[in-house]
Amino acid sequence: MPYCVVAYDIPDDRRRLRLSRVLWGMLDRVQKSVFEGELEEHQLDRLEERIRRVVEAREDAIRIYPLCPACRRRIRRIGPSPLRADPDVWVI
Amino acid sequence: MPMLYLTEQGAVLGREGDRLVVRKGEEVLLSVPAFKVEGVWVFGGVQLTTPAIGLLLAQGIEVCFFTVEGRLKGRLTPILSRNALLRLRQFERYTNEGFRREIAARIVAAKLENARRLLLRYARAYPGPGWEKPLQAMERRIAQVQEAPDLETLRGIEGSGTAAYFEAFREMVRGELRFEGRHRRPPRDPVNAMLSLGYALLTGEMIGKIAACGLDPYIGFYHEVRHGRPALALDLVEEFRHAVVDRLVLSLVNRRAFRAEDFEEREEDGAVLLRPEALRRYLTAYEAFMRRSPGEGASSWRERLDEQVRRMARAVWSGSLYTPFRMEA
Repeated sequence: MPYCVVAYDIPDDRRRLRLSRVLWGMLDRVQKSVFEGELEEHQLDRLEERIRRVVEAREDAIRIYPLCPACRRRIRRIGPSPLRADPDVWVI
Repeated sequence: MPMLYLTEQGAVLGREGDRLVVRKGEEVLLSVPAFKVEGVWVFGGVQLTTPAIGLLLAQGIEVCFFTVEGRLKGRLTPILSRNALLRLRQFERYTNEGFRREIAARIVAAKLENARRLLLRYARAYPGPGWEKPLQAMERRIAQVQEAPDLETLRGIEGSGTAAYFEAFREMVRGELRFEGRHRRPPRDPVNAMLSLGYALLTGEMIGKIAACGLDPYIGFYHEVRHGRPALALDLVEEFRHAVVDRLVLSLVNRRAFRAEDFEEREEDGAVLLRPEALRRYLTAYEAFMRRSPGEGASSWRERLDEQVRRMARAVWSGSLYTPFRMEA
């Protein structure tokens, strides 16, 4: 499953909040305006569609980076933002 | 997709937007997008909020409720509108004695054959004279299956074949945990507790799969239809009991992954149960097993279960013969 990184820059507070809700429904928040998570191709399409419904193309900037498994392994990070893979099972 | 097992007593599964969130008190134990969850299995005193239930139903996520000891209490399902015609066929087949006997005979033969093959593996790994008697007893029973004139006789054959198998199972249990013989309701020793729990999980899983394909899990062909008994699920579980649960339990017990202190006895009825931490480990091991490939084609045991449910649906629909799962020798 490809790993996706979504970063955004939205000046309007309300739209930013709405967008973060949409992203949060499908990804995990790793930084203030960066979300990440594993998504299938069709789920990625769905996410993009939802994003388009919220944002204002003239003012807002959103980038989606799907990473291949090899690229994903090469992510370098500094500081306490975890890199997570979906497990087989959550036993709580 | 991952399964979510909820065992933390007092935890609450709620909804935040499109996410499922598990909390206990102030603490968030898990927060995950709902669409990532394949199914939710709830054990004992875990609460679900109404918004969470709404989200689960909307996403078509299967929810099964178990007691802490793993008895299936019920399921949460989206409105069932599928395949009324298939269910009518199922009722028709149920009233057809010949069809029932044929299906039942195939299931019993496969079940006993799988038990025999598992026993054979141990007999090869640990040669000794003790295996001869139960093996012969089981072979005799398997041979008798085809001649059985009715379901009653089949049940007798299955019962004594399984008894012979569990007699040998005592020797297959090689770790420090003892197994004196098969006990259910309640299980009286750790190995029985693990077996019972595994069978219950498998049955819960089967019920969900059967309902999802449009068949009625409560109308079976081999198991008698009785109030509250998922007869068809139990029919389909037979061929997997030894191949899945017994193998899982044997591997856990024999490599000493579980010990006596992982279990406790309940005062009211003397039932032996897994302690909370051990239950979690057991569920993790069960899940890992179900995701492993059984070999020959299927990518996981769970997929193999799906395949058998589809085969059953085809047999019910067209009246053709059902081919049960057989373990590799």
